[in-house]
Amino acid sequence: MIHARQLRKAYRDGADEVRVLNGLDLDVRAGEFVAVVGPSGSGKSTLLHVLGGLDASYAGEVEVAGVRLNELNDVALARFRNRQVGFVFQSFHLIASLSALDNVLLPAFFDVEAVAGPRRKRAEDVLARVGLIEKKNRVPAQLSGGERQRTAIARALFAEPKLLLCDEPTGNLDETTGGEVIELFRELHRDGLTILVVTHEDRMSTAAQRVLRLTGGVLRPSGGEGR
Amino acid sequence: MKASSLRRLVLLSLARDWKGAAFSAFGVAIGIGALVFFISLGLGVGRVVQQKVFPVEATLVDVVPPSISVGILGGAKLDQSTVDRLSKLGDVAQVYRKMNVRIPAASRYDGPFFGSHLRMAIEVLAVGVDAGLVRKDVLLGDFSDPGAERPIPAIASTRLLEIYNKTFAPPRNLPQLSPNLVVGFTLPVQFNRTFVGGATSGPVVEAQVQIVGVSERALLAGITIPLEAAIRLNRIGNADAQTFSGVTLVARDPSGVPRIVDRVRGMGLQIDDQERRLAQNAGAAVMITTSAMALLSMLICFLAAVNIAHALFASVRARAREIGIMRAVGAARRDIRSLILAEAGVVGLVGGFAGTIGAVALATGVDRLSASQLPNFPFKPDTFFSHDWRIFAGGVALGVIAALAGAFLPSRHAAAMNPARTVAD
Repeated sequence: MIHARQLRKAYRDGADEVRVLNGLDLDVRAGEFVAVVGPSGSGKSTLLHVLGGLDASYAGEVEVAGVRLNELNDVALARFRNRQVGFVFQSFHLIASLSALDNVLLPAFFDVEAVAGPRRKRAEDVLARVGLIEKKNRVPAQLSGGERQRTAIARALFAEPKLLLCDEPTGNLDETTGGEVIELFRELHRDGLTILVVTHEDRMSTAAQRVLRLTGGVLRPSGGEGR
Repeated sequence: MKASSLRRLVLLSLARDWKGAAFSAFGVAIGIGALVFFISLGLGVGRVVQQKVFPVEATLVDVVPPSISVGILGGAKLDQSTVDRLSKLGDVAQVYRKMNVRIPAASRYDGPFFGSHLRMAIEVLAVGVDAGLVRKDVLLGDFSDPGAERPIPAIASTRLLEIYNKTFAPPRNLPQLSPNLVVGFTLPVQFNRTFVGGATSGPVVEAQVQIVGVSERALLAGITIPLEAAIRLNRIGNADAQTFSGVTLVARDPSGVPRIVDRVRGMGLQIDDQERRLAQNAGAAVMITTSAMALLSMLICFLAAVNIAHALFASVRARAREIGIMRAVGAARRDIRSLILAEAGVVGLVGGFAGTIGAVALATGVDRLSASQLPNFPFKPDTFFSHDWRIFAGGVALGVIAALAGAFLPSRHAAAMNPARTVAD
């Protein structure tokens, strides 16, 4: 599902160059649930953005779901993000003025198909899947933290992506709701979805099949973690 | 992105910050409203100048004999042979001769005048013209010389009638006259007689002059009679009845006028373009004033565009994360650009419509105020404005263009934002 070779990315911090990805290699099989752990600032989110086609300024080669991201222009990358991957962020990143249903439908606004009946039905189905169909007309401010994250997961699932990329998805949730979200990820994984999650939380990494540690800009297997 | 999706996102965005959008639209409306108002006013006043004050027909060329004779042969005479040569010029469709009545004339009238009583004694200026020049305005008879025993048909000037109605009649409690009403009015005129000059040679000709129409082509301060009548009167008064005072040439097409003018001047004749120059000068004055006001309005539109740019830059900064989210779920840069431009376009459209409607409302108010409060001066129009749909459409379009221009840089800025950075927690 994911093949990354010799990924390199650096930031300038004043006069210094900070290499967050330094020749990183990664292979994730379809249907795998992989957690990437590492200290804050180690480049976990950067890796996620590169793999999701959100950040195109890197060196190296990335192939996701059979698509070589290096070869895509902006429009093709946008279509890739729209169809092939779903993002889940720590701060949910819902649009405050839209209802839960419209937030889930948001990817459809940027698709070539119209936001019509079948797509609305699909959005309701995924909202039902995460247990929020009763609250579909509520705006994010009227939802709890766990409900907002489940709405964000529903949005990520809307386009039936092959890969779910999650950036600290339980970071802003209490233990109970965080546990519910982790359970939801397990269910999605059981259904065959490939999941790559970056986290520094043990409970999240223990849910994954495989845990990789990002240090010094490269990934290494993390001992003693994962299922 | 489909248009329906774009429309929905734009409406959602504008609804969320409707106060900011309304303020931006207000700025556009002020600029467009001022522009539409002043352009409508300028064109309206220009139309009054062209059609009523100095009605100049684009195909007419007035030829007169040279005012100064040069050389041993003197200046070119405007006699029948010259008229024949003029009629053979290319581009000339019609030739109408004019001959001043070269003997003095006066009228003393004491009698009924459209329900009032009028007593007056005036000197009368008269010019004879070929019937074709004024035929379309003749409402009684066929405008030909009826001979010595019958009233001479005469055409009055449209502008003279306007000046009479607006300036002369009101303080004297005389009735207002329309062109139809004045037709048939007859007054006595004594040709070869003057109240102000010395003695004249030849007999005095007692005649009746009957108004048979009102025309913009008629002599402004006098009467226009059939050419044959003018020739007859000049002969009786021993005045020149051979050469013409002027000739009006009708060009086949306005584009042919410059060629005709060149050839006429080549024949040693002059062009009487006093009216045309007055019309041009007045038109230029109106155009300069209108242009100044339009420039001021354009400046307001520019400021509105700058305001939109500021507002959108602020909006884009505030919505950076939202834009990042959109990019994350599949928006391309061009989608973000379209979204920002479409938001501005709607603001410009609403502002342009509001400004245009406001300008029309203000123009209507000015016209009503003019009708009720301003004195009834000559050539006072029913409306000072040109209510042309093209001005309105142009105003709305300019509103959209100004808003899009203002949104250009913010939209590029929004599209260029790094989504990975804006969605970073």
